[in-house]
Amino acid sequence: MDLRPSELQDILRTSAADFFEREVSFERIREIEAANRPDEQLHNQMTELGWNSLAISEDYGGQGGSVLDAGVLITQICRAALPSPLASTLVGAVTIERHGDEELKTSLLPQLNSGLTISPALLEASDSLYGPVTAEYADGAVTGEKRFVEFGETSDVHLVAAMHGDAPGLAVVRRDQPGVTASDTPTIGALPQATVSYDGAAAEAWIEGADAVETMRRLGAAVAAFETYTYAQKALDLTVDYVQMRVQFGQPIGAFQMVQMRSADMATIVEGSRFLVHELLWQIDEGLETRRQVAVVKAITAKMAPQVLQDCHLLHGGIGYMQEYDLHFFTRRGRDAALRWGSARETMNIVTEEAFAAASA
Amino acid sequence: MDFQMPDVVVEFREQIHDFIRRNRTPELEEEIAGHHLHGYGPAAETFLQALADEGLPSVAWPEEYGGRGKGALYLWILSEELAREGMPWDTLTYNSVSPTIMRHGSEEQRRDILPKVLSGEIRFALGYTEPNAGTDLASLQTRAVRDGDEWVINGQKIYTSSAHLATHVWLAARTDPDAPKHRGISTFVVPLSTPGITVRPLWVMGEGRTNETFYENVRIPADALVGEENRGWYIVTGALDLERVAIGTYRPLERRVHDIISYLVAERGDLLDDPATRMAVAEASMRVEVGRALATNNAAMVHNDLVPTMEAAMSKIWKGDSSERIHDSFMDILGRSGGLHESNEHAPLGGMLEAGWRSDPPGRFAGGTNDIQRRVIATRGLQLPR
Repeated sequence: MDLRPSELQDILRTSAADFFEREVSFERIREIEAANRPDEQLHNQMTELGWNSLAISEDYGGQGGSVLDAGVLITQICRAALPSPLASTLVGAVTIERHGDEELKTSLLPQLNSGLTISPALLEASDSLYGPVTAEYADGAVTGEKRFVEFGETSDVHLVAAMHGDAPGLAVVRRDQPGVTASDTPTIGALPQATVSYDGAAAEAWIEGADAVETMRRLGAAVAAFETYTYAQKALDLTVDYVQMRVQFGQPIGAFQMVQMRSADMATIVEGSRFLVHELLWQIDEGLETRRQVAVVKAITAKMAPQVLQDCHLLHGGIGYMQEYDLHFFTRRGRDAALRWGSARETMNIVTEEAFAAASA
Repeated sequence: MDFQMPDVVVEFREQIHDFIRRNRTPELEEEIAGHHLHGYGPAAETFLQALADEGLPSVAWPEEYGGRGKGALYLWILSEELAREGMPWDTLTYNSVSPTIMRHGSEEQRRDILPKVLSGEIRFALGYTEPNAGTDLASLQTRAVRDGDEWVINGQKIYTSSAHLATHVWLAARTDPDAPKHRGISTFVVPLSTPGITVRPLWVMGEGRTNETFYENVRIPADALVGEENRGWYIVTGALDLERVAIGTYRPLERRVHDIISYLVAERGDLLDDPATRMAVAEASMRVEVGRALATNNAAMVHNDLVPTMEAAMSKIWKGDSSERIHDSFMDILGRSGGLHESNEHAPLGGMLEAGWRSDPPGRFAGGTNDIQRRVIATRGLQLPR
């Protein structure tokens, strides 16, 4: 047990932090948000650094890192508030590596090094993580509608959960082809998400098995929990800096006990979450059973973050509410991440089901 | 980052559970059921002595003081496993005072005191709090005056829990009344058998007792002073940090939540689809999970010879607040019967919720109140202005 970052993780963190510090100003983030699509030049630079294939094994042209290593990168992407398809691509690519056949893996995964982006597509009308999947895969084509597909308007490949008769699985679908129509669905996080309809869209491959869908679901939820924590941590860091500097009644407001208690309570739940989201990625890397753990960690982050984010606004007062100040990037993105891949209500119900099942066993 | 508990730790856990299986007598069970907080009886004393004889607490300590040198993580594991099973354990002696003596005591003191702790000959009570020095501990007034080769102690301490069971008191006393209040305190090891000490019971709202202790011209040898004279405040705060790590253990709560959910599933099928109950079950599970995270983070720090300060305060706050929230919410969910005393045959969970709720207050105020802990997090952890 050693909770300090490995040497590789330290190098990654430093180089990623330097990169975003150098390349990504908040002005640029505002431009990217206005365009509502990821910045291609930045994505290409990140690809050249090997980040787009970080967690994929060297057998398929990847960097041979772990999902936890990729978490180090995701931390820096979130702290820069950069709308980047790197995290959703990670979820899709790792799912394909774990469940795809050799032919698919050797043809598709090396393309990550050329910047290939992947969008997992799971949710349908119920908006529910474990809701019914009605999209159909038949005769090599997919028909159905998916909602909240991250970067769905721009990504190269969609990984679409569908039914092949009675068998669930994942269809690998190129976005840029007839039968795929993506339309923007603006959400609170101001990150590109799309509603996508597939009308007999040709699939490049079919990965059959409920376990493949479940892997994608768990990776998606784990990464969303990780991002939720990261946005809350960043908002808290900004707030702790701010209350040390902001003077009212002749002293920094951070000297007031109400402010200190609120800060301490935020720091406590954020610190607990920090441990849990990192441990969860490690558990996924180790191949441990994670159904219950994904749900409980997602529930914890989804429940704590909204309160922390709103309290960060409270402590900032008027300035934190201004668009020209940067806090809103993190609070809006954090609220969004808390909803993605399972809200608190939905994941708490899974936690309860797991607890009842364990007690009956 | 590696979250894997080493294999040897897993083996040590097994060893602990094996010990518990062999030493969990009906007398002990009965004693534990009636004493949720302080005040172990004879069966618990027997258990603790057997634990010492078996050499389990010694695993963590350096070899030169009678230990097996495996590191502080092992001590944490031992206290966690015993706590989960509801077994007796002397947190103050093993987790707080002894490691503090190891850090600040002279070589002679370490060689004298520590092996006796391991053999069960020495057990500590804490002499910190006074009637007028609670949260503002540094204003304590009990005096220690040097007189030749001796110190002479006069004053009064309160909430000296387990003073009626311990052999020694770990005492903080004022040695320089003219210095600023944080700079005139020293720490002593005082045998409770010394003439001039009176122990008087105080009965608590939970189960069992704590004590007032009175010191009247109590004479102890000069070498009873631990650490540098007048530097005691810093020694005490370090010891309190260690104490909080142990208080912050989440394992008893984990066990309770498990028992509560098992009870609901077995006996209260009518509640399993109730939305409020379902959310309470999830909330309790999530609280245990965050508690595990904060506690394990502490353990990893202790393992690397760091003293968690902010981190210890976090796990202590979380544990105390969560215990109260969980007992309270399930007491409400069960309605009137949630408040039944264990003596009533219909009391759900053997009266655990009623007794638990009554015993919750110290979890939030002992070892430094939770609100002061929030100040510790804010000022020492987040570096907000004092």
